[in-house]
Amino acid sequence: MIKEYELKSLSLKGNSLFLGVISAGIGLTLILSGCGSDSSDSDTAVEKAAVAATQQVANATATAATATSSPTESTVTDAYYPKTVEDLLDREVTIVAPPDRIVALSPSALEYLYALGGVAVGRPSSARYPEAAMSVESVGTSYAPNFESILGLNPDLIIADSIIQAQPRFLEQFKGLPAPVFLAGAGSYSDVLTALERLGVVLNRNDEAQAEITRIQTSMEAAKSVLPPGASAIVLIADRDNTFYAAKNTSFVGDVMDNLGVVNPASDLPDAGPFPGFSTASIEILLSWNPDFIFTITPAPAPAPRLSTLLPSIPPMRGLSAVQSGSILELPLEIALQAPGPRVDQLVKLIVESLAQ
Amino acid sequence: MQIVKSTIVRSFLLLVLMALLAFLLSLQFGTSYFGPIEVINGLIFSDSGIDRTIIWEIRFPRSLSAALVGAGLGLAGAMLQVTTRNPLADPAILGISALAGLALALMVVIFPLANSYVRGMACIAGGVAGGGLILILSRGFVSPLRITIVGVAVGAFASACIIGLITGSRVVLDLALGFLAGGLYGSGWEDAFWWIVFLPLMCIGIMSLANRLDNLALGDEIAINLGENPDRTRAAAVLFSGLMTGIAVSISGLVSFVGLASPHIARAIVGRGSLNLFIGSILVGSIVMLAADTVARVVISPSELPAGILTAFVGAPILIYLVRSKLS
Repeated sequence: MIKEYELKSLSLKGNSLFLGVISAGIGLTLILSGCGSDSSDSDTAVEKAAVAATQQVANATATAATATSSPTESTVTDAYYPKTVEDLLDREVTIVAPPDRIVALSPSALEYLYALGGVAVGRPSSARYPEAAMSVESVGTSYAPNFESILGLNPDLIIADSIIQAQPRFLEQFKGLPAPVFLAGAGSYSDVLTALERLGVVLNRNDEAQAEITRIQTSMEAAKSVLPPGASAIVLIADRDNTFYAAKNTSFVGDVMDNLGVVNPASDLPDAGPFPGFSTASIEILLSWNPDFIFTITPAPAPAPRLSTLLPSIPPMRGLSAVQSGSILELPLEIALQAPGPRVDQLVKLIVESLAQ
Repeated sequence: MQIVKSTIVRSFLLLVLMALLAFLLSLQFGTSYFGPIEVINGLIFSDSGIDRTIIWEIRFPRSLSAALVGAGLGLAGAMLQVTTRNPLADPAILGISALAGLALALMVVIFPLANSYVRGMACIAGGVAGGGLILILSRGFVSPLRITIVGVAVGAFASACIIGLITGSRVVLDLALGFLAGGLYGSGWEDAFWWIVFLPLMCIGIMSLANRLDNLALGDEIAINLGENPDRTRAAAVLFSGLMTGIAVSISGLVSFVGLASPHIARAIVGRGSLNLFIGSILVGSIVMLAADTVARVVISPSELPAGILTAFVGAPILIYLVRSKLS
């Protein structure tokens, strides 16, 4: 005789303990959702670097800046409004009239807009710069923009991120929006210059775009001129398990270092790990590289300790000459990782000042 | 008998009304609120402007998708519980959801540009394979404990594989958070499309399996005397559950506890017979998922919680209650 297992009904009547547990669960959900925030929403301890875009350049630098060609071959059609411009994913985007209500979907997109003198009506919740944009309405996070909020602002142009929002699931949703979507991110130093140039055409702010590009290129050339030749450096991130990942030259910060001429031993690592542009780096390999300088990035918000302070406390790391000499610097999370873009000159300045010491 | 029938009819009517109400509320609430008339205008009139776009292009397909996920998981959970005679059976607990998710992750790694229909097929294949694996490894369903242990082991293995893929693949990482937590962010018409597949399959599954599973509940010997093949019936039910789970996972990722809780809630309302239970679980699952998704969209607007977090918050106490009541 096969034993039958009776399925017991769930009796909801008169079970106050059960209802109390359910209520507590729902209440906890609401409390946590109100209090909790992902790392992109909480305040981060950002080290501010002084920005000094110097106009006093040597003749050689000016010559170099003048001789520097446009960052990309121009693929922009020379037209008035309506304008058709290729975005950074090489999609042709047509702007039929001067954009007036612009929504930016990532911190980088927002900074591009404001660097060109534009104003947003919607911004991502994770954006922290510029200050003038902080009063603008939030449209959700960069990784999950709220399309209802975006539509509610009645935009006539949406600037999305060509790195964060390049996935098919976003591109499919962009197709259904009534406003043109222009994708501009910053996967590399040249992306920044290209994005500024093309957005300048989109916004009819070509002069401002050229000024920004010149400013950034000038700072890059000035930085290169003072950088000691052959200087080596790595950029490290660690995850919760203290596994280290070193920036390859395919990351934004790695590409900036490459443009500066800094030797990056991690550039030849195979792709490994969950962080795009970063590769797993064991302590052994770090010791074999023994770079002149170590830059660190700590994604976790305060009060989590900065990786730059943790490194010297790891015994094997004390064998690194950079640790022994204190040649470690914590890079600002925003300009190095979260919001790469027009403030690249600040990043360049930090790297060069550290390496030049 | 007449009184019982009319009670059950009233119960079903109540569930249908609640499902319609949950659906309407999901169209009304979001980043902005729409009254019922505005919702109807947005559905009917194509020239309603932004309202039309929000309601027709964003909320309506998303609500349809939420209802579909809830219905699929509810039905899958009910079939698994009846088939295995285990009140703790659930596509997530038995590892079927995780295997469907693993199939999706593998598809994304091998074919990153695969469209949503291909991904859906991969999930369905994974869900059916998951059901088959449970069948093979547990060698029949004599012991609910064995089934649960096998399912937990299979689910752990699949979850570990998914984590491994996340670690090694940028493409999988990109969809990881929303997928693992379970949610309907980004659901659109390509997801609501699966109703066309689900609806006839659901009817076929319920009509063909409900009576057979009722016979099976009387015991294998009696079922055989009634002309049933118990093993074949169980296999069909489990594989069908895998199919339903695969459809749900392809839309929402790994949503937990809907398949567990919906049958129990349905049983309390519409009784124990398999047919009533399956239809009731579909309705309850839809209501739960619609409610969870609406709250998820509203509570920290304009950001969103993954709906799977809310279903876990509600479903976990239900599971604890069940375990405690079984032990007592």
